[in-house]
Amino acid sequence: MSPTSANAPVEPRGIAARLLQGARALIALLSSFGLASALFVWLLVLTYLGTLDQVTAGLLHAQQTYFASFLLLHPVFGFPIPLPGAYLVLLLLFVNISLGTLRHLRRGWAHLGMLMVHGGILVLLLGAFVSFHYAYGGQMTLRQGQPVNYFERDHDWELVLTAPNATEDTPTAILPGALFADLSRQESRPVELQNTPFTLEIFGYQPEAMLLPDGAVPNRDAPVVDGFFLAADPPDAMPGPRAPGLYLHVTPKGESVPQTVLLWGLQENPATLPLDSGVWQFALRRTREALPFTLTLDAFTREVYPGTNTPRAFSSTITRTEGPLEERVLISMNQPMRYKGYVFYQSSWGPQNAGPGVERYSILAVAHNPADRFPRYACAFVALGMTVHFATKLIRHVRREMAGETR
Amino acid sequence: MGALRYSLLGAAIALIGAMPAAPSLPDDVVAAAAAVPIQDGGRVKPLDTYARFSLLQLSGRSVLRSESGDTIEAMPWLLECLFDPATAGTRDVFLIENPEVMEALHLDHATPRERFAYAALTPARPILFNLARQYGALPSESRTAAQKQTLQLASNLRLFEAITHAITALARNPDLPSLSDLLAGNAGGDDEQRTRQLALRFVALERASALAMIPPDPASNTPAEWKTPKALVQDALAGKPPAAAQLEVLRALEHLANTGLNAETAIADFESMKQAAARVMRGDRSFAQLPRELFFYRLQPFYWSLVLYGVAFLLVACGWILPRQRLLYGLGVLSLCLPLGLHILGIALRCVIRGRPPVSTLYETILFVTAVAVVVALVVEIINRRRVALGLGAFLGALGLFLAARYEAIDRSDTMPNLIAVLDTNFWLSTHVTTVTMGYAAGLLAGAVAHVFLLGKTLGSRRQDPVFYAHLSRMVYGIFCFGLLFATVGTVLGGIWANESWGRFWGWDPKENGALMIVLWGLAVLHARIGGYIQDYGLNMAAVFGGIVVAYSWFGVNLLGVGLHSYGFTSGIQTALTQFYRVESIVLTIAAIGWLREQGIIRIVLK
Repeated sequence: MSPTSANAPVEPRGIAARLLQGARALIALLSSFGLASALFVWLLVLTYLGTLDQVTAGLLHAQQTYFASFLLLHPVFGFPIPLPGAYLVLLLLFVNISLGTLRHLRRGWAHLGMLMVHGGILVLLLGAFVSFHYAYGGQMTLRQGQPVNYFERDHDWELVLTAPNATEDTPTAILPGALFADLSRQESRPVELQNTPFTLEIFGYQPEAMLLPDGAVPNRDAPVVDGFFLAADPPDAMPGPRAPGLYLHVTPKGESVPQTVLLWGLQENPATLPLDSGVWQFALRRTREALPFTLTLDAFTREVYPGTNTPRAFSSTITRTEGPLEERVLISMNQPMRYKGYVFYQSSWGPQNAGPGVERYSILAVAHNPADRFPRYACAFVALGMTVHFATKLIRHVRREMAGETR
Repeated sequence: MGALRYSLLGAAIALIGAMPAAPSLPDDVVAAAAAVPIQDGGRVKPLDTYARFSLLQLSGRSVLRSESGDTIEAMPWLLECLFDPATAGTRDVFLIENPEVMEALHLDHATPRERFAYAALTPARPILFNLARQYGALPSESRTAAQKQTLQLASNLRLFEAITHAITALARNPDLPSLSDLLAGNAGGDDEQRTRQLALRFVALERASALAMIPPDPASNTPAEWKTPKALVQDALAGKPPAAAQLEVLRALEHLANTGLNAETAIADFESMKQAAARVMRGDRSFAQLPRELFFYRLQPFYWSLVLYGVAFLLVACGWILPRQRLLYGLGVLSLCLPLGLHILGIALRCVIRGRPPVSTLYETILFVTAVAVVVALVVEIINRRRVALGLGAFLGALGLFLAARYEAIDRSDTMPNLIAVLDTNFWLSTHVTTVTMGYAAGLLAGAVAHVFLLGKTLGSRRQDPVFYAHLSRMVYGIFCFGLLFATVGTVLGGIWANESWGRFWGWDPKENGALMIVLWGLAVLHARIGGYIQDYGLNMAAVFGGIVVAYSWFGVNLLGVGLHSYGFTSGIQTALTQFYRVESIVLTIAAIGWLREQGIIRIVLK
C-alpha cells in the first residue's frame, strides 16, 4: 500500500456501508432546507391553483382535487399533467420538519425559539392529519319544542325504506351510501333485503344531479318518473341546486315487472309506492349520526340592525337532555356549545324570507373533531417561539448596528 | 308634475349653460344642522356624516364645485336638497361611469365618465326604472358592469328624491291640519276624519322615505329604530301613537319646512331636535360619540396626514441631496412623526367612535396597514439611520392614504358601518385581524425597501458602497421576518376564530388561502436564505414578489367573488391591482436582468 493511499479517506465498502451512505444522503435530502423551501413553494402553487379552481368548479371540487389528494391531474394547455397533491406535500413536510429540527437545531437556549416554532408547526400538521381522517360534521335542524337526538352528515347519504306501519325516524331499513356511491350511471346493483315484500335494484346513481322536468334539456338519457328525471350533466350555467340522485327498480315478490322510483337528495318528501301491503316510502337523505343526548329548541332569536336587513346577532336557546339531566344552553355566533366531544355552532336559520309571526327554525353546524384544540396549542407554540427567536435576532442586530455606529 | 317642473328647469339651465352659484348659508345654521342626529344604515350618526356619504354615493365625491368654481361642501348641499330641491336638482351630481348606460338613457355625453343633474335625468326616468326592474331580476353574479351601474343610478335617483321630499313634504297644507297636530290628536274632528286626513298626509309623504331623524319611542318594543315622519304616520295608522319626544322633533321639522333656513329660527329648531333625541338616548354609548364623529370629519385627519406625508417625503428627498445637513435629517424625522401622529389619532378616534378595534372593514385595513408600515419604517430608520426607511415611510404613508381616499370614493358608502353578526366580536377583530394586517404591512414595506436595493443595483447606483446594499438586505430580511411572524400568528388565529364560529379550523376559503400564501412564501424564502440557496439579490427579489402575494391576499382574493370573505367587489380595485402586478413584474424582470449581468451570464450569452 502506497503512502498516498494510506492517507486517503476510507471508502465505504460492502452493501451495508453503501446502504448506510444512501440512508444518510436520503436523510440529508429529507431534512434539507432546500426540500423545505421547495415544499413551501409547491404548497403555495397548490393553494393558488385551488383558490382559482373554486371560482369555476366550487369549493368541494377544489378541496378534493388540490388539497385532499396525494396526486392530481392539472390541465396545462388542455393536457392533464400529474402533480403532487397537498396531502403528499404535507406528509413530506412533516418528515422534513421532524428530521430537520433534529438535524439542524443544536440544542441550547439560542435555538429554543426555533425549536418551539417547529414543534408548533408539527402539532398543527398532526392536527390536520387527525382532522382529515377522524373528524366529521354535519348540520342539525331544530324546530321549537321538538327534541332531536341526531345530526345529518354533510357529504354522506343513505337510502331509507319505510314500511306502511313505520315512521321516518324508525325506518324499516337504512342502506348506507357505500352500497351505491361507487356505482356509475350505467351500473346497477341488486340489494338483498329481508322482511320486505319486494326486491330492490339500484341504478342510475349520479353524485351531482339536478332534478328537471321532462323536456328541460334536449338530450335526456335517464328515465322519467312522474314527469321528472335526474340530469347528470346539466349546463354549468343552468341555475338550481345539485345533489346526489338515483333510481330504484322495486319488484313486488311474485311479480316480474318492476316499478321505477326516482330519489333525489333535496326532495322535501319521500317517494311513495303503493303495494299490496300498503304504501311504502323511499328516501335518499343525508346520513344521520346519533347523538348520546337530545337537544330541544326553546327559542330562536334573530336581531337585525334597526332599519336594515343586516343581521346583528342570532342565537338559539336550547335544552340539552341526557337521561335525567337537563340543562339550558345559549348558542350564538362565536359562542358554540362543546359537549362530549361534539361542538355545536349557530350556523343559520330558516325560512330565510319568513315574515312577521312565522316561527323560525334554527340550524346548528355540528363538528366532532378529536384534534379540535390542536391549532390553539400550535398557535401558542409558534407565536411564543417566533417572538423569542426574532427578539433574539433583533437585539443582536440592534447591538451590531449600534456598535457599528459608535465605531 | 314635479318631473315636468324639473324637465323645464333643466332645459332652461341647459339653455343658459350655467349651474347656480354655491348656496349661501350662514355658518352657524350649517353647523347646527350638521350636529342633528339621524339613523342610517342601522346606526345613529350626525347629519353631517349622512350628507358626506350621500353626496359621495351620488357623485363619487364628498364636495361639489359650482360653475363659478366655488366649493360646495356636503352639508350645504344636503340643506339645499332639503330646502331648495329645485336648485339642487340642477347641480351635476349623478356620476355615470359607463357610456353604455348613458346611451341607453339617451344622455348626451362627451366623455365616458360624466355627472348629470337630476333635471337632466328626469326625462330618462321611466327608461331607467324599467331597465332597473329587468336587471334587478337577474342573479347578481351574472349582471354586467353596465347593468350594475344602471341599478346603482336608479337607487341614487330614489335616494335623491327621498331626500328632496323629506322636509318639503311636511310643509303647511291649507286643506289639512299639520301632521304633528293630527298625530297628537289636536286637530279636532272625529276618528274617521282624522284617519282620512292622516291617510292624505301619508300620500303626500310617499317619496319621503329618507332621513330617520325622529328618535325611537322609549316605550316601544323596538326602541332602537328611528323614524321618518312617514314611518310615524304608518305607526299611527297601525294604532301606535307617537311619543312626546317624537312629536317635538316632528314639530321642529314642520317649522323648518314652513319657515325655511331662516337664521333666526332654524338654529333653534335644530337644537330642539338634538335636545329631544338626547333625552331619549340618554346613556346610549354610540349616541354619546356623535360630537366626536363630527369632530373627526371636521378634522379630516387622513387628508391632512396625506398632505404632510408628501411634505415629509420632499424634506427627506432634500436630505438625500444634501446628506451632510443633520438639521435637514432631523427635520425629515420630525416631519414624518407629525403626519404619523395625526394618522394614528384618526385611527384612534374611529376606534373610540365605534367602540371597536382599529380594523373591521377593508377600508380600515388600508389605514391600519399604512400606519403600521410607517411605524415600522420609522423604527428601522432609528436603528440604522440610512435615510432609506425614512423616505419610504413618507412615500408609503402618502401612497396608502391616497389609496384609502380612492377606495372611499369607489366604495361610496359609510366607512364606519355596522358589522354582520360573525364579525361583531372585538376579541377576534383585535387579535386575528390586527396581527394579520400587521403582516401585510411588513410584507409590503419589505417589498418597498427591496425596490431600492434592486433598482439601485440594476442602475449601478452607489457601486462603490457594498455596505449600503448589505444594510439594505439586512433591513429587508428583518422586516420580512417581522411580517412573517405576524402573518403566521394572524393566520393561525384566523383559523382558531373560524373553528369557534363555523366549526372548522381551515376551510380553504380564498381569504384564508391568501393569508396562507403569504406565510408559505415567507417560510420558503426564509428556509432558502438559511440554506444558502438565495443570496442578497434573491432575497430582495423574493421580497418584491412577497409584495405581490400580499396584494393578492389583501385585495385580489376578494375580487374572485367566491367564499365567505367575498366583500368589497369593485372593478376600480381590479384595475389598480392589475397595474400593480404589471409594474412589479417589470421591476422583477429588470432585477433579473441586473442579476444576470452582475453574474456575468448575460455577457457570456452575448458572446
